[in-house]
Amino acid sequence: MKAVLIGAGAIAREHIGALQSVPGVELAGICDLSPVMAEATAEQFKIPRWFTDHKKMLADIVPELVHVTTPPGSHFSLASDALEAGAHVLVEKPITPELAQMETLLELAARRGRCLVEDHNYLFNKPVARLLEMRSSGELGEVVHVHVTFHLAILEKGSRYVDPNVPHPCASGPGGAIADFVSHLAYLALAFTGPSHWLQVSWRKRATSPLPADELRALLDGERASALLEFSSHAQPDGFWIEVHGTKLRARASLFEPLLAVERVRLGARPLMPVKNGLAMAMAHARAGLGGLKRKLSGRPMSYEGLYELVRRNVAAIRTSSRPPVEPAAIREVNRLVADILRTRKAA
Amino acid sequence: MKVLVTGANGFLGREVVAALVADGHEVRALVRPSTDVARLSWGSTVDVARADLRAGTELAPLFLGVEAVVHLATQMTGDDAAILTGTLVGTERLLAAMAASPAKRLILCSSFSVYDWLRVGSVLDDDSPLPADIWPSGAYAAAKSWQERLARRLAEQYGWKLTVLRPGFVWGRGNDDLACIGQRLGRWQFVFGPLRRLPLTHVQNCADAFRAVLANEASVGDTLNVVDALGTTAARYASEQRYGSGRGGLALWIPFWAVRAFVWFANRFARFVFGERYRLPSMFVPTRFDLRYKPVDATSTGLRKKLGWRAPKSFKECARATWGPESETSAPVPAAVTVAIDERRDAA
Repeated sequence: MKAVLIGAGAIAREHIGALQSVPGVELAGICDLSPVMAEATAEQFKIPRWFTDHKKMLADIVPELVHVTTPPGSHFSLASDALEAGAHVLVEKPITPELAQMETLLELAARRGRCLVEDHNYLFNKPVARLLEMRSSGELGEVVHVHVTFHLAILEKGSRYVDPNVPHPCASGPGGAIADFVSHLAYLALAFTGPSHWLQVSWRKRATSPLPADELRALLDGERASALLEFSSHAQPDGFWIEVHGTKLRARASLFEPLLAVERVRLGARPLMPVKNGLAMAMAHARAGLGGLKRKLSGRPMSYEGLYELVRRNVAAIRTSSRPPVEPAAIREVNRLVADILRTRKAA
Repeated sequence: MKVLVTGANGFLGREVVAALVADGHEVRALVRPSTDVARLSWGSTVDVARADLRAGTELAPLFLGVEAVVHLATQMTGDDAAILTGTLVGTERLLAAMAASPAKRLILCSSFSVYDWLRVGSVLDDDSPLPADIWPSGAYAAAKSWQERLARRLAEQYGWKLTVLRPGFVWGRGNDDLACIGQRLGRWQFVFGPLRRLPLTHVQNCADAFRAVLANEASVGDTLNVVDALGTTAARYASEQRYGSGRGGLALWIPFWAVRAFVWFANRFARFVFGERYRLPSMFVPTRFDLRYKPVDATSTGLRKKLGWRAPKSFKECARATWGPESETSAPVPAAVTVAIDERRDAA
C-alpha cells in the first residue's frame, strides 16, 4: 500500500514512524510548503520522494492512503483534495476547525467510498484499550463517571504555546492553546460516557500570559455516565490520565506512562480491602515506572504508542474494507462536543 | 559596509555586532520581536530590526541597503523537531529574501558538530571528513549540516560570495559550562580526559574571526574552522573555571579511555538487553560522545593561511574577560536606534 504524508512538522515524525512500522506499507512521499523541511525529512526517514505541492504528489504517486499533519486551518482543503484523488485519509485532530467543513468532508468520503479517520491516538494506548476491554467484558460494571485530566506546563519559558515571536496556530482561536488539547479530552471521555446531552464549562486565567485562558474544567452528562474534563497549565507535575469509576472497580490509566492501576471491590474482610488495593496499586505503579524506562531504552514509541496501533488498524481496515478504527459517528460526536466547549469561551 | 547580522541577540551575535561596529561597519542587528533591546547597550550605529525568521514578518525590508549577511541564527532550544524546523525554515526564508536583494556576501556560522567524529583522526582541520549520514549526530548537527547545504546551493545559484565558519566550543561570560569538559554532578565536576587539548574559541576571538572574514574576501568559497591557539587542557579549563568563577567545588579526573570503555560497554549491554533499536542518553551515542570528548588537535589552518588570522586574545585574557570584573568584557556602545520593519518599508 502506497502512503504519503502532507506536513513535515513535529507530529509528522510520529506518523512516519507509525506508517513505516506497518508491514506492506510504503511511505512513498512527503510534502511540505518548506522545500528544505520536505527534503530534509525525506532524507532523515529515507522517504523516496518529496514535494512542496500536494496536488502534484497526489497525481505523481497516486497513494492509497494520505496522512494530513498540517495545522488545523489547512486540513479541510488538503483532506478534500486527497479524497477527490481517491485516497483514504487520516487527519490529525481537530479534523477541521468548523463543524460544517467536517460534515462536508465526511459526506465526500462516504460518496467516494473512502475512509476518513481523525487521529484519536490516545484511545489506542494500551492502558486505555485495556480499560475499554474491561468495560466491554463487564469487568468494570456500569460506568458511573469519567475523569480526564491533562496537566501540562504550557506557560513555562520556551514553550511553543506562549512563544511571543511565533504565535501557536491555535493561539488566535477560542480557548487559545488549550483548544489544541480539547479533542483528546473529548474523545477519551465520550468513549465511556456516550453522546453528551448536558455541559457546563469553566475557563480561568490564573497567570499573565498571551493565552486567553490557562485552565479549563468541563462537566458533561452523557448517555451512560458523567465526565469531568480538566486541563491545567499550572498543576504539576505534568501528567495525562483517565480515571473511570465503575460499579465494580475504579481504574486509572496514564497516557504518558504504561500505567493501569485498579482499585476493585474485593472478597474477604472489608478492613483488608484498602490494604489489598494499596498493594495492587503500588505494584501497578512500580511496573509502570520500570515499563516506561524499558520502553524508552528499547526505542519503542512512548506516549504515541496509540498512534502506531491506530495506524496499524486503519491500514488493516482499508485492506479488508472493514469498519475504520475511528468511525464517522465518533468523529461527529467528538467535534460537536469540542465545538460546544469552545463556544462557551467565545460566549465568555 | 552595511551588514545584516541574524541571531544578533545571541551569545555570539552580541560580540559579532560589537566587533563589526568597531571595524567601521554599519550593522543591522536582527533580533526577535520580544527581545529587550535596552539590555543590549548597542550603539547608535546599530540599526535594530525586529523579526522572527521562522514565520510572520516579510523579510525583504531587512535587506534594504544591505551588502553582506552574517547568518548566526539557530534554534537551540526545544525538541529535535523544533531545532530542525526553527533553524532550517528560518534559514530558508532568510536566504529567499536575500536572493531577491542585491546583497552578495554571506558568512554562515556552522559548527564542529557537522564532522564525522568517528572518523576524525588526531587532528581536526578544515578538510576533516563529513559523515555520509548526519542524522545519528543529532538534530543540532543535522540542522547545521543542512544549513550549510542550503547556503552552498543558493550561493552557487545566485553567485553569492559565501564563507562558512565552523567554530569549536564557544565560551565566555555567561556560557562557561562546556559540554566538552565532562559531566557536572552537584559540587563534583567529572573531567573526562584531563590532558585533552580542547577545541575552544572564546566568544570574542570567534567574533573577531567573523570580522576578519568580512574584511577580506580571500576566504570566499571556503569552509573554515574557528578555534583559538591550542594548549588549554580540560584540566586547566576546569581549574580556571572553578577558581575564576568562585563556584568552587571538586574536580575528579577520569581518563578518556576509561569513559570511552564505559560508553562502549553501555552500548553493548543496551543492544543485548533492548535490541537493535535501543536508545541511550545523548552522551552515550558514540558519535556525540566523540564530538564532545575525543582528544583531537583542532586547528584554524585555513583562517591562518588565507587571512593570517590568529585568535587575538590568549587563554589568560579570555579567562579574565569571562570570570574577571564585568568592565573587561567587550567595549560598550551607546544606546540603540530601533527601527520597526514596517516603518522602514513605508520609508522605502
